[in-house]
Amino acid sequence: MSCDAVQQQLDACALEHALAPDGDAAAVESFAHAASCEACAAHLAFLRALDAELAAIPLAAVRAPVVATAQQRATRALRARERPRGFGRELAAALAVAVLALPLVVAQAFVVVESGAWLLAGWVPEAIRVWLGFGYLASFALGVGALYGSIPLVVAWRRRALREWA
Amino acid sequence: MESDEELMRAVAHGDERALASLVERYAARIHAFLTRVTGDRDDADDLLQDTWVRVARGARGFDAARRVRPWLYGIAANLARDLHRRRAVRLRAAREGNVAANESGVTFRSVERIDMRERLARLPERLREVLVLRYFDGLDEAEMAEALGIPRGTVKSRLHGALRELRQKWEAT
Repeated sequence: MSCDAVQQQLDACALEHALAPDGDAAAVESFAHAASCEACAAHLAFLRALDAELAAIPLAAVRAPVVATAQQRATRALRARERPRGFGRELAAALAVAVLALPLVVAQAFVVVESGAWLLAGWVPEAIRVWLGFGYLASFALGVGALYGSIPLVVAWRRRALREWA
Repeated sequence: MESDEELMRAVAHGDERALASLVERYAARIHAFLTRVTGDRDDADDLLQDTWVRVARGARGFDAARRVRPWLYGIAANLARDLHRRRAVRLRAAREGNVAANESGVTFRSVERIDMRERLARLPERLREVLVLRYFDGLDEAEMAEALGIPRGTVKSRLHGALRELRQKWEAT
């Protein structure tokens, strides 16, 4: 066995808390090698010192209230994953508000397009104005679509957050 | 006694008692892991709670073919890494003078507390987490690879890298 292989074997023993020469054949051979090799003996000394140091690191036990809080929060999170009751009603209310606001939103878009067309009428060719108008309306429609499409997600997220933090 | 996997399957169906059993079984171990990796008991307290919230949220999507233990440690390790990243960002900002003096003091103090008793504390996080998982938590290489989302070969090389670095520091003192 080379010194590299021996030291790797000793590393494995240290990580398994088995720094005594009574393991499997490879471990026994490694300890025997270390007894007659200065470099590997130094490595073994290091591993023993490390083992003692790591074992001596004090570790405070987890406090019971921390575990209790973790448990409560996890339970709330688990409950929040269940199919939410009343989701349809909340979603309908949110969509109703959004739909009520829709005429205003459309009217605003109409005013922007009309005003833009009026402002640009004198000095921008009609083809470009039409193109600009379509571009604006297309991106506006996309934005409104994304906004309305996200309503169910927002409602679901809000309900989950409320249940978890209640 | 039910296995972790059986408990997890029950949790996936909304069984709160199974969740409580899992918390009872693993809370102390996960907390110890988090304390060793973050070096701060208060941070470990917070991350322990976040770990179990993530477990509850992810219960339905839990792959029944997976083992629970590496999955739990993986969640905890990810949270610890996120914390470490946030600390590093705050520390960098403090060094660049972008953070008010009192806040930077807090940042430096908390980083100082990362110091996990001497040499272990000074290991890079990726080396420290494999060493803690192997030495203190007894995860084997396959479990660590699963928990950390890295190949087994990388686990092995990080373990030896951690020991190599510790030896250099040990020899230097």
